[in-house]
Amino acid sequence: MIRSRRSGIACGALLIAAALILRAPLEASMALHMLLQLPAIAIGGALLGYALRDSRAAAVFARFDALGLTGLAWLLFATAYWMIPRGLELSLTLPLVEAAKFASLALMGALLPASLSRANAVIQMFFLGNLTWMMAIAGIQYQNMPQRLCNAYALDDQIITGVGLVIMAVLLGAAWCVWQYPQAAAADRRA
Amino acid sequence: MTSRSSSKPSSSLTAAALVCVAALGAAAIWYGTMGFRVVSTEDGRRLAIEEQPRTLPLPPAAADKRITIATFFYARCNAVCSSVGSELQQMQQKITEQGLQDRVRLLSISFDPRDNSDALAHYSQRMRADPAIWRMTGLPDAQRQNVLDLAGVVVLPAPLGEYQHNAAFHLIDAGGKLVRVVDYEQPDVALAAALAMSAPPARLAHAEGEAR
Repeated sequence: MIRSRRSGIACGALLIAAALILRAPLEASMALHMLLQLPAIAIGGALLGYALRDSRAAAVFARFDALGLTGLAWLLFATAYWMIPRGLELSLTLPLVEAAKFASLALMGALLPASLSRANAVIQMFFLGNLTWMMAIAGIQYQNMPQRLCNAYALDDQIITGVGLVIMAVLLGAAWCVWQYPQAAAADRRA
Repeated sequence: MTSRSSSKPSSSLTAAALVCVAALGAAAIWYGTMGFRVVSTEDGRRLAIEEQPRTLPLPPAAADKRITIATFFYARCNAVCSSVGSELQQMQQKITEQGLQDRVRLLSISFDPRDNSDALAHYSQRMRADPAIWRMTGLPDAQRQNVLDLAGVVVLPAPLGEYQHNAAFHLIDAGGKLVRVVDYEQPDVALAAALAMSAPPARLAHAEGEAR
């Protein structure tokens, strides 16, 4: 238990540190920035959050997170902001925005495991449905725009990012179904 | 999750937290979209310039008392700037035909350090630029990044010695202030806006009165 907790913390911290140290090459491309660096920070945060699920901070947060609503609302706002092209590009030029990017996404990941476990299937579907829908629409827009959305990134890069966002949205939705299926099947058997 | 009483979810605390998350999220998105008005960096740049005109530290030789329609370019460009180049040629022609050369002029500003005065002169010749209407200028090394940053022009090195950059028509008033940016696909809008700037309403009415 303690060992798995330690390795969870180590892996999470390592992922976030890698996203920070490899900032320059990752942020040189829109696709790597959005599809690799941002998810790495969030996954790093999730590993930390899961490892620290029995901590005091987690217990305090639980009081503010009935049905997982607060953590899932944070998920929607954080993902929405970083999919705004201008919002994302500001992180390239303003160190404070870059810091906010790491903090908001790491926190999003950290809150997510416990919030998901507190949310029932309907609430999960509402928030993840919104997230995947938003991500897919953003991805379609990125591909369709004749002009560049970020001045720092080339049009080809934007199109690749758009394709990646659509794929990620579909995978997230599919993953949720696969994850929820055994529970739904079990509930069916009980009924 | 153990159901210790200290970690029991509270609906009023959750409601308060939700309000905070929503307020913070909305404020962030407000900031990122300049008040829910833009999503792209380029639209944001244009809006910011319109709201806060700024003086570009251009070489003194490039100053002019007329309204300037400035574009950023590099002489070797084969992509967007060559289409902007032909738009500028047409604009030059319109300015000549309509006798507007004492109100508006064109300025092409190169951000490419390889563009020395020879390269610019050659480009000017290739474009058949009339020096009374359309001039080319480079930027001194020390000022280049400063000018680009102030104008919000981002230059990305591309393969084969090319660059990708946010091309547009930049309207600079008689006082040297960059006041408006017009899309490079709308040269007519840019020219009309420049003419509107060159004749303030009062003077225009006065001139019309004289004409009558």
